Amino acid sequence: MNRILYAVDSVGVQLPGADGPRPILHAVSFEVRAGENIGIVGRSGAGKTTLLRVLGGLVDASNETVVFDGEVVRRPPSGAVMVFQDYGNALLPWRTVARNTGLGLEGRVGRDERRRRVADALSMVGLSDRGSDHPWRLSGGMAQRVQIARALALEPKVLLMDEPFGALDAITKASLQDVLLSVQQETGATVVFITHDLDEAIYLSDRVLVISGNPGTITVAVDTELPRPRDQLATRELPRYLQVRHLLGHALRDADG
Amino acid sequence: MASRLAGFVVPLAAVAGWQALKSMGWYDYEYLPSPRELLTALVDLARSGELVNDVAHTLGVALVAAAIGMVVGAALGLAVGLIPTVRRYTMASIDFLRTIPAVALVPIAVLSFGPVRTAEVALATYAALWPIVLHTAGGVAAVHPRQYDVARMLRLGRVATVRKVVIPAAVPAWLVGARMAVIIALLVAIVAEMMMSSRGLGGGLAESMYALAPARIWAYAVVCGILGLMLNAGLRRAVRLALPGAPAPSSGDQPTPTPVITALRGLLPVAALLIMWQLTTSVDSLSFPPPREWLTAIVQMRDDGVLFPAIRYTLGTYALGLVCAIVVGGIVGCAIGSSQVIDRALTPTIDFIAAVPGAALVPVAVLLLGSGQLSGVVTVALIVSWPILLNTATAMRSIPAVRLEMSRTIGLSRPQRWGKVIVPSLIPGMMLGVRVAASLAVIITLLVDIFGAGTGLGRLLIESQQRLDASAAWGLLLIVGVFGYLMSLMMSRLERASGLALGSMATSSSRFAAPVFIIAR
Repeated sequence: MNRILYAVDSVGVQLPGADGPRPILHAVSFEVRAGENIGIVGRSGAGKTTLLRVLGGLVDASNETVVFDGEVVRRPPSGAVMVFQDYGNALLPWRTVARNTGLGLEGRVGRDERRRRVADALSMVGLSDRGSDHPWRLSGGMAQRVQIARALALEPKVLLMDEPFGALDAITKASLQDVLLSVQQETGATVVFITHDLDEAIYLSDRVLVISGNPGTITVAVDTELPRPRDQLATRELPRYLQVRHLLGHALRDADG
Repeated sequence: MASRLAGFVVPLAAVAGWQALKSMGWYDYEYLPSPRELLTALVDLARSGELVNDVAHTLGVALVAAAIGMVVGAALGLAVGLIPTVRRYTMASIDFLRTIPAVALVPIAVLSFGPVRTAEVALATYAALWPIVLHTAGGVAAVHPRQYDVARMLRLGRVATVRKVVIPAAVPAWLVGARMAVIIALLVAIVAEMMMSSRGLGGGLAESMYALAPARIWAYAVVCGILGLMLNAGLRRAVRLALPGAPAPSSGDQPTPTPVITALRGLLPVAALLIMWQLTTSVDSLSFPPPREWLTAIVQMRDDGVLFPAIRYTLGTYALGLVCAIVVGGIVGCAIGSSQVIDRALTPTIDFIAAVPGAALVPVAVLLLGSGQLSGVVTVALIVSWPILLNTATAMRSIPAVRLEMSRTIGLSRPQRWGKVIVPSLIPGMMLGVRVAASLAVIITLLVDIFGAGTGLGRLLIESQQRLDASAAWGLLLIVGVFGYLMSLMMSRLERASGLALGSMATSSSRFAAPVFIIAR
C-alpha cells in the first residue's frame, strides 16, 4: 500500500450565509493514498466544490482535521495544485501559453530550469507547438490543457480538479480524460477531481466517493477495481464497469429521493 | 441595513468633527467655513430666492442644450453610422471638434453672442452634441449583420429597414449618449457661467469667489453636487425605465486610431470649413476673424514672450496633476475595491463628491489651497482623481475570483500576486478612468489659471475675452483644441495598446469601450 497523502478526519465546514453561518459539510472522512485517482460525485449544491477547496487550503475547515503529507492544511499547501473549471478566467489573458504555464515557477527556479519544466509540461498535454499563442486563440479543450500543464510544471504531488472537463463537449472531454490518465501514468501524480458525470468518475478513478445530504457528507465509497491502462471503449464495456455504475447510480438516486 | 448605515456614518462623523473642531476653536482657517456657517449661507441663498433662480437658470440651459443635442445628434449619428462614406470623411473631424475643451470656447461664444443666455446654450449644446452623435453612430454600426439578413429576407425596403431595424437597435445607445449629454451640458453650463455671467450656479460661484465669501462658495459647490447627483440618478432611472431589462450598452466613442492617410481624409471637412472661412470673412470681423488672423495673433503672442511660458506652465500643471491623480486614485481605488468594509463606509461619500461637476470645485480648491503652480497641480489632482478612483475600485471588484484563487493555489507570494495578477487585471479599468480624467483635467487646468491667478493658457484665454480680441481667442482655441485632440488620440492608442497587450481582444473590442466623458460612474 502506498503512503497516505491526504488524511481527512470528520471535517465540517460552515460558510457565512444570509442568515448566519450555514453548515456545508459535516463529518467528512476519507484518505487519499499516493498515486490514487479519486473521483467525487454528487448533486450540485452537495458541497463537492467546498470539499475540494478545503483540500486546496482555500477554505478553512472548522476544525483542523485535514492533514496533507503530514502537515495540517491551513493555507494552500505546496504540492497540491488546483485546476479550475473556469479556464477562461483561470488563465491570464495577457500571457502566452508558455508564460501562463511558467507563472508558478517564476522567482522560484532558474530560467533554464523553468524553460525545461514548461516545455516538459506542455509536451505532456500535447501543446508543445502552442507555447507562444495567447489563451484566446485556443479552443476550450486546449485552454484546459494549459491549466493542467501549469499545474504539472509545479511538479505537484496532488492535482485537485474542480469539474475540469465540465465545460467541454463530449469528444473533447474523452480525449482530455485520456490525456489526464497518460499524464498521471507518466508523473505518478495523485488526482482528486469533482464531476457531475458518473461515467467520467468511474472511467478515471480508482475510487469514487458520493457526497449527499445537507450538510453534505460521504455516503458511499466504491473501489472501481478496473484494470489499467484504461480504454474509452473496452473499459466501459467491462462487466465490472457496469456493476460499479449500477451501484453508484443507485446511491445517487437514493440521495435525490 | 447595517451596511447602508455605515455609508452615512462616515460623512456625518466628518461633518460633526469638522463643526466640533471649529466650535472649540482648534482651528481658525477663515477660508474653510464650519458646517453651520455653510448651512447659514445656504439658507440665506434660498431665502433670498437667488438659489432657486440660479438652479433654474443653470438647469434650464443644460436641459435645453441637451434637448437640441438629442435631436441634432441623432440625425448626425444616423448619417455617420449608416453611410460609410460620411463616416470616413467625418470621423476625424468629429474627434477633433469634440475634444476641444469648453473653456477655450467661452471667449469666442462671448465675443459672438455677448454674455447672454444664448451663448451659454450654444456652448452647452456644442458639448452635448458629440456624445450623442458618437453613441448613435456606434449603436447603428453595432446592428448585427444577421438583422440585416432578416430585413432582406422579409423584403423590407431601405427606408423600412432603417425605420424598423436600425433605429430601434440604435435607441439604447442613443439614450445612453443622451444621459451623458445632460451631465456634460450641466458641467459646461457651469463653466460658461463662471467665466462670463453673474447668473446661474457658475455665476454665483464666481461672484462669491471674487467677493471672498467662503461659506457661499461652499454652499454653491454643495448645491452643484446635489444637482449633479440627482440628475445622474434620475437619468439612470429614466434610461432603465425606457429600456427595461437591457443592460445599458455603451458604444464606440473614442477616436479610432486610423492610418495617417485616412485620418487626413477625415479632417477634410474641418479644413474645407477653414478655407471657406478665410475666403469669405473680412479681416475686420469682430467675432469671426479669418484663420490667417488667428495665426497673426499667435505670432504676436509669441513675440510678446507670453505664449511659450504659458504653454509650459499649463502643460506642467496638467501633466503633474494627472500623474498625481493616477497614483492617488489608483491606490485609494485599490483599497476601496479590495475591502468590503471600506467600500461600504466610503462609497456614498465618494459617489457624492464624484457627482459634483468638477468645475464647481475649482473655486473651493483655489480658495483653500491658494494660488501658484503647486496648488494648481494639487487642485487638478484632487478633482480629476475621482473617475480614476471609481474605475479602479470597480475593476478591483470585478477581478474574477477564480483568478485570485489560481494565484494562491499555484503558490504565488503576495508581491507576485499583485505584480503579476492583480495590477495587470486592473489596467483596462484604470485606463478608462484615466481617459475620462485626462479630458476633464484640460478643463480644470485652464479654470485653475483663470481663478487661481496662474500664468498659463487659461490666463491668456480670459485676457483675450476681456480685451475683446477675437483673433487671439481663436488662436488660443486652435492651440488648446490641438492639444486636446492629441491628448485624446494618445489616450486611445494607449488604451488600445494595453488592451492588445493584455489580450482583451477576445472578450471585447476596445472600440466599443465605455464612455469618454462620463463624470461619475
